[in-house]
Amino acid sequence: MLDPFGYEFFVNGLIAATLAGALCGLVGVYVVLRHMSYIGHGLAHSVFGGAVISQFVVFNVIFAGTAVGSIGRDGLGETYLLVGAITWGFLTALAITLITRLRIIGADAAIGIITTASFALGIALISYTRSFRDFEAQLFGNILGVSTADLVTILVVTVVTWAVFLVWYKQFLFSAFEPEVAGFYGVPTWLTDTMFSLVLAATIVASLDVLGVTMIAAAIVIPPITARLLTNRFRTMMILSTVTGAFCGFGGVYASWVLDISTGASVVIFSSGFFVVTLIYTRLKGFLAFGPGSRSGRGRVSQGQAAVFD
Amino acid sequence: MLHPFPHQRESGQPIVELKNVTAGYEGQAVLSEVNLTIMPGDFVGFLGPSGSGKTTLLRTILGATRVFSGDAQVNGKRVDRRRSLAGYVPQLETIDWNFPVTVGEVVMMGHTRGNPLFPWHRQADWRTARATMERLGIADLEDRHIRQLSGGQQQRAFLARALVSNPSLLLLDEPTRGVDIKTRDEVMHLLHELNHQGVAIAMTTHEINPVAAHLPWLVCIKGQIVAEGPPSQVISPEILHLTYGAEMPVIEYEGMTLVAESPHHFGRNGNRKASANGNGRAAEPGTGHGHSHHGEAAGHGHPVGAHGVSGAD
Ligand SMILES: Nc1ncnc2c1ncn2[C@@H]1O[C@H](COP(=O)(O)OP(=O)(O)OP(=O)(O)O)[C@@H](O)[C@H]1O
Ligand SMILES: [Mg+2]
Repeated sequence: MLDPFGYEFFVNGLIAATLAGALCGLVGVYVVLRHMSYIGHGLAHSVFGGAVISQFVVFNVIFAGTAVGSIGRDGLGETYLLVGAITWGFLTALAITLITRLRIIGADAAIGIITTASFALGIALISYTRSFRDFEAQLFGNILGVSTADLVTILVVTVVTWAVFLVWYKQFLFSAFEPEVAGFYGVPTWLTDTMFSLVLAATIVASLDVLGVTMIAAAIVIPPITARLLTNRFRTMMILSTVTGAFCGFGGVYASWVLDISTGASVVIFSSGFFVVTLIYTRLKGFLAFGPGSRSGRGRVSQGQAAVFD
Repeated sequence: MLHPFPHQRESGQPIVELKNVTAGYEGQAVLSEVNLTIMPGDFVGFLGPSGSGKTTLLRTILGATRVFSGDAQVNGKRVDRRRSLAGYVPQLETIDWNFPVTVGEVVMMGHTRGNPLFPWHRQADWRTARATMERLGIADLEDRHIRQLSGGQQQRAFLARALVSNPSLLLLDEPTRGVDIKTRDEVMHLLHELNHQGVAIAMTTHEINPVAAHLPWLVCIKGQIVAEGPPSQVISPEILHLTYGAEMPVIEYEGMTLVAESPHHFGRNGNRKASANGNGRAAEPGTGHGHSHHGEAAGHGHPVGAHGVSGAD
């Protein structure tokens, strides 16, 4: 077999997937603990719509008839696309959080309406103009297309996200645990929600080219629940989830080369497998510690008895 | 064991002062024309059926509801959610027990207000947290996950969080719910101790007998304040009927005022004549909750046992 590390595009893809995995893993902790697992899935669709819409605006409105339309991926148009997609994702994330907080309708319904509508808008635009670049990569993920600019984007978003989570750690912890009571204890909940929406939108936009719309939800949800199986501490869960995400991104992309399958699918299958192995490991540990049929022991197996999320 | 003690209201500036307050949520007033004063050193219990606005009253004191009219002040300043310095213990049913936090992490949340821009806590904050955990007897549980605690220990952990910032006012939402009699007594004694150390306390409850026995001052709520005073005055069939909309026989037993909370039982067995106004079974006026809040001691007509089993729901 050929040595994949000899190819620059593969190494780029591997780095991008590892970073994107780590990023999604970190952000996913908050998503999962707030019981918003579905939001990653929804936002990815929404951001896809946003990307198409901003492409439409950039090429057909702002630069209509100029030469920009023919500039390549790394050109000026690309920056506009990035900003457009992040803004769109941020606004949708914010709208979802607000609607949920004000209890107008439930979070699941809010996500369902807002994001599918925005995804449909994107699809409608694509089918209307038929003149866009290939969106397949963004739907299913493709590492072959990862450019140095993409890498830089992911790196910047990763650093900013870590900084935000570090500085605002206490507030994130409290408002994930008890969103309402946190307000009584001096946490500016509105600011916290807004910062999170921004970070989440940036994460999804940055990971879109690598993981793809359809697979991003898994990259956000699987690492945190795997980490949750291994710890009862918020801080430890954040670290473990990041490491798990990075590991699954790396392993998934490598496996996609070896098995010659789609990158996004490979990352998801790889992380699901990792989750199952962790689950069996923690169960077995509990089983061995208390013996077969030890019902009384179950509640006390701190590690193996971790959460069930809905 | 049970000791109602004489209530001496301190003078000076009130901690909480609500004047003609009408408050509630967006487009819906839950409490109307409420007048309430809590002085330093007070220990007040809020009674009332489900949906009567007990939690809303606590939230109003915290500045987390909409005040439509009237004046709500804490420590002489208008209530404001962002500046509230009261210690708050939420109803434990609202807690997500699967959330990955340890007792220590929960207690440290009480220090969130201090140095907000630094992710780490100050040494002094750790010291007060440790001291508070010692005081409540949960110091050795610091590294435990919140799931791995008994009901009483859970209550103490969240109480510790409310106390680390050394508040002069403590608000508790149903601290005696869902725990056994012994734990409930422990919690009540703990609150008494805190009260003796100068903390003003307001708590809500569904359990009339325990608060009648322990608390010097009760407030009956049903969208407004129905009655207020020491248990011996407030616990009467008339006031209870006004509050709960149900007949509740009141019994004096060895100096204690006890309520036999089983109107359905009496009615069904025909041990008692149908009440004069035919209202004996009417309960839960205007609540959206399906479950009965007469759960305590349901079916036990015996006066002594009447303050026994709790949490039938
Ligand atoms: N966040 C909210 N938004 C809108 N309405 C609310 C909200 N919380 C409570 N309510 C309404 O306010 C009324 C009073 O509720 P509240 O929680 O204060 O009652 P409670 O006396 O604490 O009841 P329980 O004994 O069941 O805890 C209810 O009719 C409820 O539907
Ligand atoms: Mg309540």
